[in-house]
Amino acid sequence: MLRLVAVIVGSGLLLTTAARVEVWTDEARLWQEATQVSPQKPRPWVNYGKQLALRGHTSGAELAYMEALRVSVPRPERRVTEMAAGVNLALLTMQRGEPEQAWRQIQAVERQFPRVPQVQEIAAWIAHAR
Amino acid sequence: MDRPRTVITLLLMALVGAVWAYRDVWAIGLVYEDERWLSGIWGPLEWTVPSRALTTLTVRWTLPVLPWAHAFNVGVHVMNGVLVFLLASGMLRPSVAVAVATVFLWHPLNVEAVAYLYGRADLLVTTGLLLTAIGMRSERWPVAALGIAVALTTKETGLTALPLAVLCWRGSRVALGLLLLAGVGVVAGLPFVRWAGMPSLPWWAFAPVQSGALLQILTNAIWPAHLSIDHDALTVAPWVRVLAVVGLAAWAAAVWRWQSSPLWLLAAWPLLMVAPRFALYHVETINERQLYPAMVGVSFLLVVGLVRCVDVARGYAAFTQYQPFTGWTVLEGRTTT
Repeated sequence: MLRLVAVIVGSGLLLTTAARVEVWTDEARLWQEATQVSPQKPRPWVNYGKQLALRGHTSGAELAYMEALRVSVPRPERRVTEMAAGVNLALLTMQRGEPEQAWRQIQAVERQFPRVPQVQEIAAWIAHAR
Repeated sequence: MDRPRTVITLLLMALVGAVWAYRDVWAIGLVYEDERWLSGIWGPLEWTVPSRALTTLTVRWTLPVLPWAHAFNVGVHVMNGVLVFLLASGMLRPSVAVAVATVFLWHPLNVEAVAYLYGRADLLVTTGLLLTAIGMRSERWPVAALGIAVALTTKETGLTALPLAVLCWRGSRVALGLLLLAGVGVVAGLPFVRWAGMPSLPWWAFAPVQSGALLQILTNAIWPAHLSIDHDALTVAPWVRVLAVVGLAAWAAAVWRWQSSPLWLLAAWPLLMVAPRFALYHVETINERQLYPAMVGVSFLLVVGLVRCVDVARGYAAFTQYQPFTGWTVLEGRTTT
């Protein structure tokens, strides 16, 4: 009986580990799974969005960033992620050729994070490109 | 099952199985924090204690070829599996010791530490801690000294090697070890709070959050269905956090109570390994990679618990036939008898 249990448990562990390693070979999938495990946390959504944007899936990336903004809660540790989601969303909108919309989005970020140099730089760039 | 040839064959199968499970590791690129971390490793090495100097050195050696860097991580994991076997075989039947090493090698909760380049420090600090425990238990002082040196130069939490050495030396010193740990942890933790520059919670507020996070990840040790690079400790209900604090306190109390049992080191190990995470009370909670050193003790407890359950089942069956259950049959240690 003990041997049977050992074989079943061992096989289960080994196959789960192999499957998990495969997930790690694709960072987009890694973060997608993280969004399923932690759907209320903005960071997995931001990083999933970034991976989608890098692969050219702009609509998917936009949805992920918007989800990150939606689930952000006013807690200090999540403010940075919230900022990243807002900035990434504005950059994505610029990439799509909608500078007015991007300007509104980056202004919203600036209102929340008024003295962050990176945000100010990107806002200045978008303002210049309008 | 306990014949040397069988044991060695089973151990080799466990090692080969681990290499097979991690066969895709070569295809992993730089993930998440890797790039940021690696950009800062090329400055002068600072051999302070505790530090990550040795970890940085190994990354510099292996990084030029990324698949080689990942292969190195797998190699360290396999070596840790052998060390877990050596530690376990001093306390358990050889076949049970192989089972402990197999669970440690094959457990999916360890994937993050092995697959993530940034997890190198957790792998190496575990090597140091295992060498410390093996050296102290067998009174091979050079091995213990090497272990402490490795632990202290691979990750800041390697300070745990000092109370671990006290715990492992000639029987149970749980009280002294935990006291030492608390002192070392707090002293080691305070500077990191300042260096991290992150908004910190007061300790009394952070401890339940961290306990909840620990419970959230530890459930994957039993049923690994919710593995993630980023867990959300804030979704843990307040009552579960309280339960987790009570559970950890009860765990520590049990270790204290049964310190004369061979189980004490196994039960104390995970507590020791997670203790520094309670001293570093900034807002980031524990993640799967950081649980890797604790997984040594968790693997012990999972296997011993399973074998014990089967023993109890057999015992009840025997009881119905008027054959008394003889009690503990797992821990027939060679050094403890």
